[in-house]
Amino acid sequence: MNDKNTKKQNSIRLLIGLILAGTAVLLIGAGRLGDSMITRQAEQEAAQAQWQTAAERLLRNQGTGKDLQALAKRHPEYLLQTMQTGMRPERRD
Amino acid sequence: MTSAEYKIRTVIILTLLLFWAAGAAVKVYIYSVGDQETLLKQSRPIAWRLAEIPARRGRILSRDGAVLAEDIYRCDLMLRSLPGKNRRGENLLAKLKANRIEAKLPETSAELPAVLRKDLTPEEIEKYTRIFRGYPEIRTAGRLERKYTADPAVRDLVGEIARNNRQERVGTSGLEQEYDLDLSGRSGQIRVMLDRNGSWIYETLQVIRQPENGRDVRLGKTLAELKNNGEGPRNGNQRGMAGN
Repeated sequence: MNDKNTKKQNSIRLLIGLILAGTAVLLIGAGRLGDSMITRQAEQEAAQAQWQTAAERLLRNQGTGKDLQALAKRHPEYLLQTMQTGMRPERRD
Repeated sequence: MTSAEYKIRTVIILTLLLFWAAGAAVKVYIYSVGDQETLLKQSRPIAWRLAEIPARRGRILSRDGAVLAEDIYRCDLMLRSLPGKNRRGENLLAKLKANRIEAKLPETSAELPAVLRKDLTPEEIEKYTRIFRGYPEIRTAGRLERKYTADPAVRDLVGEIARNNRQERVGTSGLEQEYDLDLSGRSGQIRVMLDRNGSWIYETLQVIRQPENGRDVRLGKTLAELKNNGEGPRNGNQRGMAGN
């Protein structure tokens, strides 16, 4: 009877241990994922600032068209897309 | 089934699963670590594209600030290739019809590229870029148009520009040619990934090099002086402000 109880207790301990280990792994993974998402978001914001600078340069001294300036702020990528020329595959060795 | 047979079957199934898992793990390792560089290199020409963003040409101004020549951004809706005779092509035609553009479609590809709508407003640029995303046949194509002063005497002094064989705009006569080095900028460069339809994946867009606009040139004479004396501005000119 005592043997059975001890075995049961051991199993419960093992199960709790496994659950704790799993939770720890999940938390570590979530932390890493969060960090990479923050980094990715920062990169995306930096890239968008670059798009905006390029679009604003494209429209510099464009006397008329406040709507165009507003579009450059809202969707600089659209303006860059309209102006791109010479699109070619990227070659990196 | 006896207990021994059951155990043997279980062991066989588990062993097979173990081999499968090991094989999959090896494949994942090979793709993500061993061959990563090679595969990335192979993917670049398929998905990644480089393109140029032109720089604005500097303005030519008289001493009193009248603009004699400047770049104006304009944008047209262009058809680059005819819609295919499949469901995708039909969808595109339906979209063109819904936006009342289909009437301007050329009948043969010899007439391509064709302008479907000229001088789009900013709202139309936004609208059409969204609507025709996923249809590389249609493109909102921007351009920098050189706008000159209306006065014919001064216009002659300002001169002309033309595209060279690298498709860059260069001054070919008058002040445009004389101050070409100052007025010309340096184009920028972007990198973007395309999806299977050839559309931009905006999240991947990177500006590798910002365009550097040309510098404005301010002349040493006022507009009235330029109109009145056509002796040529060369001696009375001075270069002006930088611009980017």
